[in-house]
Amino acid sequence: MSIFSKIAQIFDSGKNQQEQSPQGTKQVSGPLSLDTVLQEFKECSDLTRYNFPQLQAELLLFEHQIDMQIYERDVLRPLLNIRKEELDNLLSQSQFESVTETVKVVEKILQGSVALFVPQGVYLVDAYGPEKRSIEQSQTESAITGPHDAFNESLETNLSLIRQKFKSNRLKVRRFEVGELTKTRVCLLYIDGIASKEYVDEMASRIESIEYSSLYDGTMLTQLIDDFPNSLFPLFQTSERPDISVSKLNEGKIVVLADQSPSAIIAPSSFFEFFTTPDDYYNRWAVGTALRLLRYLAFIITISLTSLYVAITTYHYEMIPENLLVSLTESRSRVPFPPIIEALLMETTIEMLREAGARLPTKIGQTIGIVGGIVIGTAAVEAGFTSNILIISVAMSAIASFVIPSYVMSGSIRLIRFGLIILSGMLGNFGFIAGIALMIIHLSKLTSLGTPYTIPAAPIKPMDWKDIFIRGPFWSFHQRPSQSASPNKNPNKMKK
Amino acid sequence: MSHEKLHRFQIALLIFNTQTGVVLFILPRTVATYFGTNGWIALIFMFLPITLNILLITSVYRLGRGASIFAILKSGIPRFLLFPIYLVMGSGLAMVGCLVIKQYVMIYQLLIFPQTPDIVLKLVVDIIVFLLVTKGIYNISKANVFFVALLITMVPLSFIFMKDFDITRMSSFFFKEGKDFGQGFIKVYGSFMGYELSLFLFPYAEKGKKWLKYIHLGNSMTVLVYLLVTVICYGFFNYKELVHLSFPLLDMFGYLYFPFVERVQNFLYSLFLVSILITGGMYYWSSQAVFTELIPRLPWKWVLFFVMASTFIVAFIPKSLIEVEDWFNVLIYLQLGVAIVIPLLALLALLIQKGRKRHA
Repeated sequence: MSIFSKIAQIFDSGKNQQEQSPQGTKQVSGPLSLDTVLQEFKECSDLTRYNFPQLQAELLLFEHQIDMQIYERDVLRPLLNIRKEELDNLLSQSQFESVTETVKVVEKILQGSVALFVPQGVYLVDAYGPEKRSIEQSQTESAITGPHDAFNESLETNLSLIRQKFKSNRLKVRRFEVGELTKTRVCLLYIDGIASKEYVDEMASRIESIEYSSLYDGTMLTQLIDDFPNSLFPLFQTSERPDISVSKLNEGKIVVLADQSPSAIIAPSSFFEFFTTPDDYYNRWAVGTALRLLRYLAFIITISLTSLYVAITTYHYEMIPENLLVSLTESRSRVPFPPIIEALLMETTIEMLREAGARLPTKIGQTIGIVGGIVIGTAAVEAGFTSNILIISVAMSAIASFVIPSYVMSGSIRLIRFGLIILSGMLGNFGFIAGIALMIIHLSKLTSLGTPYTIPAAPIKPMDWKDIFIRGPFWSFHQRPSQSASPNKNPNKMKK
Repeated sequence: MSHEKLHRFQIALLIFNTQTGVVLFILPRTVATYFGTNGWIALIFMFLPITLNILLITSVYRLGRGASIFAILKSGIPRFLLFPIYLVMGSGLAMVGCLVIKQYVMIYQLLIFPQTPDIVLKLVVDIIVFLLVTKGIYNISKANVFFVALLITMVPLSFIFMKDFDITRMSSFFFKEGKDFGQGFIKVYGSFMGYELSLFLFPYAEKGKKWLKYIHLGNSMTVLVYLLVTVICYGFFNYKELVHLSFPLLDMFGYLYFPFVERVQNFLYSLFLVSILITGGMYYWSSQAVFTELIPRLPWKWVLFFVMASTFIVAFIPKSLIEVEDWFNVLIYLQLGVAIVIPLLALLALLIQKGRKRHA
């Protein structure tokens, strides 16, 4: 045997060993008994065991995983009140599920079931109901008008919030389990007859094919299932607001909910949808349209203002009118850095302030804002560290970036701004336009669940424009968005 | 998933943006030089032969029942004859793409970056064009929608010049003091070039014949923009002044001023990069399509890379804008060949194919 085949053998044997011991629940061998299950939970001190000597019954459960009321009503009280002869009768009730495999018992206990070991066999009672946060307002997507409730970390609560708003049996829910270790429950929601079957199946197959040991949040899930994981842009919209999910379901889109996550994934999504909010629909349409246009203006300002400042002050001073030129040169004359360094420095400072403010408690966050905005801003100009026009430009860019309703999209755009500043510093207006062109080329390539990300601008779907670029009056909405490829185009008519 | 086809309006925009380019900055001068007073009317006359040419191209699609131009040519013309045709066509198209970019960056260097070698700027544009073209024709057309939207923002700016527009500058004479009408027609015809690339779009367009009208729409948009620019330039300057201005449109934009910004011609010229990307990109894409037909085994992205790399080396040769214009004067004939001879050849191939079927 050659040395290479020996090495290959060593690698193969390692691989086999890995396959035999997966990260998740261990494959348990041997007959189902209390001892084998206890062996599986060895050193799990949070496992609770109850003994009923008169019934020769044992209970195994995780108290923090279960709803104590269900547990008391369905398991504890009946067991305390019956005699041994009545046990068969009790076990024939529907909440008791007979099991024969150790693996299943282990899994179900982990998922909030109570395992009952009696001479007749092993039974499981589903009593899942861990502690959860109450329904509150969303911190990241605050609402001014319209419903204020937001999703929390409980899948059941989130499902109920959607069902409360959508009382139709056409709302279908498919269940999945993701993550070998976390075994996170994931639900795929769609409306039968409105959502495209092709998209539903595609999304289901993407969720099923995830090979990742742990899943903690919906926003993490989007990165595991989206079309271009390396893109800067979020390809699926995420939202904590049930009203957004419901309206998107009605548009023929798919909503994915993950347990332990307040973020619902909406698919497919278009780039322009990230600039819309449900508040647009709760306002009069003219106000909604004005707000939407304002957001697009904010997008243009946030990506271009500082970059253009850098381009103009580096290469194109002739573009500045005489009156402005005097104050700008005066202010710039004390700054020892080239505009690109000055701009990057200030943009980084603003980003640090934002990040510090976001991580700190609200009261300290405010202090950081004052320290950053007034002290650093004013002092930096007075010290000749930066020009005051740049401060205005950076501040306006930062404010404009927060006008974009999606926090994830806003982060992506802020990062793109840095690239544009660098290109503008290197090649002036040419670099700026080259950067914009690169961004457009990249955007044009992107797809969300296989559909064009830049729809309805490209491919051109003029019928959708009245609900993307403006917020048209309700009477003008005659069809669902093209991106949904809905079999039922008319939003006001439900086919039988 | 959605199976994308080129939307017909996207085809119109693609044709429009392929046609327009640096030529827009030079066109008023060209028209004034060759046609003299009220030379802009020549653009209207030009509309007829170009429309006929487009009709010739669309007839190939109609008779060929939507088959690709290469499949049509292959069906009736022997391969040994096609080989040199493809070779010349592919190289010519690539050179047009290369020179469009070269001309743009040379003007850029002249205006803004006199100390930066033009080839460095060309390399930057080439990289962007490469990234654009490798995304495929569907994505090129999608990006083009945004590019056209950016360019369209310039149209309202033209109306600012209305207050400086003087009809007396137009003069009451037509085509006086021009020189060499024949050469002028060829040059102006050349400025409309780009529609001939619709020959290569056949397999990517929507099924049916509706989209063919949109090639005309794209061309009409170009004519309208050319007319707008030329007429305004004639009324803003006058034909004698236009003859002496290198880039009349840029000179005109130089008069623009806003409260926060003025002399925006540099910025607007930079914005024209998006038009150059499409013009250059579409010629490179077409060239790649021709060469991929010649070397089908090589992946098309590699074909594109080799085509772009070789033309990049050739781009070192012309040293001045005049040289580039001279090269263009030669390449116009090749473009005319693609626009007229290739569709005629395709029709011939279809006839031969039909004859064969009748005999069989």
